[in-house]
Amino acid sequence: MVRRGPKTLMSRRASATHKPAPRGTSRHFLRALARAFAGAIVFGLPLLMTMEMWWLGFHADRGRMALLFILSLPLLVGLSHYSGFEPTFGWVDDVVDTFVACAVGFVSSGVILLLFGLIEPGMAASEVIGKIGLQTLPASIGALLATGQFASPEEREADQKRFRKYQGELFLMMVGAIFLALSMAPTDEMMLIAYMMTPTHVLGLIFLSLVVMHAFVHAVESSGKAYVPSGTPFWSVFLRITIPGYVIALLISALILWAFERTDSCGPATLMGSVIVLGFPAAIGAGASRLII
Amino acid sequence: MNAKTSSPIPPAEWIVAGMGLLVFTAVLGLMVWDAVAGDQSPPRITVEVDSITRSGDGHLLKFRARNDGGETAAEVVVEGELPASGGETETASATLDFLPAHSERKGGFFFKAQPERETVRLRASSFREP
Repeated sequence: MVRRGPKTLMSRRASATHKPAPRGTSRHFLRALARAFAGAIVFGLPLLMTMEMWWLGFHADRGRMALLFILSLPLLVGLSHYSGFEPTFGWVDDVVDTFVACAVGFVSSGVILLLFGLIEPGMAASEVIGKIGLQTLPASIGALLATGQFASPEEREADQKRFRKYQGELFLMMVGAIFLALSMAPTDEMMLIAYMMTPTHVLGLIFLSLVVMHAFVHAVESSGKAYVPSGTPFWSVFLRITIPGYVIALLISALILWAFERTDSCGPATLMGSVIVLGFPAAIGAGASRLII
Repeated sequence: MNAKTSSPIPPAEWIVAGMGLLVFTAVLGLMVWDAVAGDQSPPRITVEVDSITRSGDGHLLKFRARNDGGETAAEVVVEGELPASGGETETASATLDFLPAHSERKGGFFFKAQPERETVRLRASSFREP
């Protein structure tokens, strides 16, 4: 409550002096587009500045990249439905917004990679498209999340209501998990950490992941924004929110590691270890999703 | 709610969304095409002289390495041999981090003697699969 105070005050002052253009006009859309670019850069920049991502752009398995692309489409449409850079009312709107986000993600990633000198003459089309295409995914998620970062209090309120359904809650956790896991998965450190951990460490990390995640879930719950009303018993929240959330975090972590070819030629123990290592940030992202998004 | 349901999508939004759809299908199409019908042949690396200039008290030979195979080569070692006077050869080597399929990367060798395009021998000696 105290934390939200100054923010709300600031947005109220801004909206008092600055009446937004009505929805459906080009002016309104251009404002939303500017927000989307800002979101794409905020979310995409850590990955645009990760060299493993540039390398994955040309040597990653094309079949897996294609699958990741196809899977990202329902995710983006869902994100547009639940959040999105404009409030949407109907699936046509959601799909249109999704492709706007793709365009924004592609253009912003392309421009930044070009400015970084990572796209040069002499590179094959496959390399250039691979590099930009891979970065388009996180950037489009960022473009759609832009509302969370720049929305007015009324828009925020509308989003929060939609997340109060159970599916909405789980979807939001998945997005949070992707948000944090995606920026760490391509780095070599994920595998290095997994190599160095013993089974005791792995168990400890699972325990810590659950504790941290539940702490976040509890914090959100007591703020009254969550799906479960505050005052629900510990075990009920733990079983209904924290455990499914952790399973989602581990699945996301496994999928991303597989897509980035981190799990190939790994023994089962290392594989498990790496999924749980990446599952840690994924779990924190899932738990904190209401604070991030 | 009713007023909002019927609010139209402005033309600018349709245009940007159309571009997005185009980009999405193009990237996806290229990836699927690459995965299904793409070149899966091992790296085929050719190295050629790009330029020769004086540098300090020696000579700088810049080379261009090209991979015509379908797979990316990592840590490509490029070697240059320059026959010097007296039957000896001057050698130099450089490592390129990555040489993706159908792409080019550049590097350079410093030689003490003046290299000639005809006499200098350039080749890739090893690589690692990424």
